[in-house]
Amino acid sequence: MIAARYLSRAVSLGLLLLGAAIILLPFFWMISLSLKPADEIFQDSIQLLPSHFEWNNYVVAFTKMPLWRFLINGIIVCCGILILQILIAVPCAYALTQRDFRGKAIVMGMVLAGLLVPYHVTAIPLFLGLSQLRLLDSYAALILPFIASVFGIFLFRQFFATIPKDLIDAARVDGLSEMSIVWRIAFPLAWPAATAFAVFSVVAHWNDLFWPLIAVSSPELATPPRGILFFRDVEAGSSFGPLMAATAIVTAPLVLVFLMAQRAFIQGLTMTGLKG
Amino acid sequence: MIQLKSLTRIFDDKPVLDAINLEIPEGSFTSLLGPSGCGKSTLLRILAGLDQPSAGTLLFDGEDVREKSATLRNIAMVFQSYALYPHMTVRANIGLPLAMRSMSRLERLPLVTALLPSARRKRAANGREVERIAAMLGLTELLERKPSELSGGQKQRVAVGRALVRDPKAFLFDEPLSNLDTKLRGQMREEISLLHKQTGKTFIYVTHDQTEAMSLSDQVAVMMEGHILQVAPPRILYSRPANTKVAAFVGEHPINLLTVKPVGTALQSPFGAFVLSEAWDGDIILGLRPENIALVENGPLQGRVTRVDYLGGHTLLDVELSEGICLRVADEEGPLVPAVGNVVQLSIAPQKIHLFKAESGERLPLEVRQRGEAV
Repeated sequence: MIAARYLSRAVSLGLLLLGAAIILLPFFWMISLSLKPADEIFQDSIQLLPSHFEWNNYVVAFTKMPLWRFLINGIIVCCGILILQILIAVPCAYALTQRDFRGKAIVMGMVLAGLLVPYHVTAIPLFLGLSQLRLLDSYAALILPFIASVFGIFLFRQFFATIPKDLIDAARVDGLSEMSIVWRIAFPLAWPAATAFAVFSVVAHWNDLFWPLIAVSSPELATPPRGILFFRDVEAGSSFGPLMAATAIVTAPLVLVFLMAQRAFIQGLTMTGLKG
Repeated sequence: MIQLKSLTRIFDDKPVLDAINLEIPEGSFTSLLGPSGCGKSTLLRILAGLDQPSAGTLLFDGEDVREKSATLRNIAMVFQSYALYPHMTVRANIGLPLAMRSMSRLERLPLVTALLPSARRKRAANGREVERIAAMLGLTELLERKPSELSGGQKQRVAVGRALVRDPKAFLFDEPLSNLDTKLRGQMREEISLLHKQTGKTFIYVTHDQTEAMSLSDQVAVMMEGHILQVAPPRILYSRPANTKVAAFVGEHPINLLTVKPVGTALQSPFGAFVLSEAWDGDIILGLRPENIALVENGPLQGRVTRVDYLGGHTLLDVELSEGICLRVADEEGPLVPAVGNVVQLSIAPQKIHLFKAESGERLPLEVRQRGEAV
């Protein structure tokens, strides 16, 4: 019996390790490449570890291109999007759960329908609209298209639906306006959902390459993934070492943020009944 | 004084409150008593300004307040679920209504509060007030705790404190004790009663528990299916119920009701033969409370015991009279210990019999005497 249990554990553990290895391999390869000297990168044989650490790739990454600029752009864009998304999604979600108004069901249906539309579909109309407004090639072009997040509305709605009506009524009796209730009562209670949403939002927009490629052309507005593309030099060929070093640097903040917010993130997902 | 005049609330074409008329005197303790779904909570929400009546008027001291928000009415409410803000400490919970009222929008901003002298002053004053209330309710030790770290009774006290701190015109209680265990319930009942005496404010108390309503109130409004059936002090409610529904609802054990047909002033019933003070043409419902029937050694009535519920202080019996009619009897523990199957003798006090009109269920203002007694 005991042997069988150990065996089944060993099998499941082995499968999990295999899965982890498959997922981690590209990251490992990225870091390995970022530390290899240029001639080693193009060797025929596969070598997991560099023969010696070539830290110079990282120096080149920062000096050849304004990598700091890309990172700061990424922070500006992600923070701008996240703050505006929350400013819009939280009151919307509150209205959809705790208020009664005509057409509520229709609005909710539209939110759900909105979840099904991939944002690439709207890219061309958005591009044309922004061009009419003469906003292309600006931070506004990177931020504005994403500020109304149906996913955010949906996630907060799921969370607000669990807030007892009595609590909202108590706040009304205590003299809070509806907006005060949103920000003083509902939003602090939805903190786990907000963390989960923040992780989703930041990851999506930090990594996004599609929209920055369309919306901006000036290098000084490039977000991190867009900036990495500048390492692919058309004339001099690609310098893969620095490119990989830049990629590693660009990935690092996300990994750090997720590790820090991990618990709240998982809590936020399980508490909204949005598992998986 | 709070006045409700033909107040009506309609949900989905169904009247939840149907033309409610009620006067709540200043400083009184008024209970709204009724089974769940009778509209009493809706009525309370309308009083609080959380819901709007579909028709009718609501006057506070003669002023129509239908358009006024809960805050402007200066009404405090204690909820059944306590409704404490889970992310705030007890101190912040009690202090929030004060902050919302006394400080401007600007002064409430987190950073500004620390910088503006006026905001600092108000915050200090509010803090003192919160501490005074907390001391009054015995919450001083708990001020820094979060609601999740409190027991039911403590949460209840915090909820009361949050209501008290605003010095409101009236307190509304929505079944405040139903989440507590029996012992704590009795204790909190006393505290609420004491609070009413201390503050002298109007208390409006919604409950389905008649013990609470009867023991606390100056007047009780019995509600059923969106109507107020009777508004009266507890004593009158029990001794002179306005109709059969009130008679059946009020009282520890369900009242015995029996329809009989009088002939002139003579009333022949399974409970015995009686004489009415005046002749009545039409069917009459006799109401007799189980506690007004006594087991005696030698009584005018005789029956067989079909069920015995021993309840400690007294025993509840079902006695089948010879006519095949069952009578509920609440017997104080006496010398006779009945058992199922025993034949027992009963006596009833005719002056405790309630008379109702059979067709409407309304109280019939007549007296009853045992036949054979002197006129």
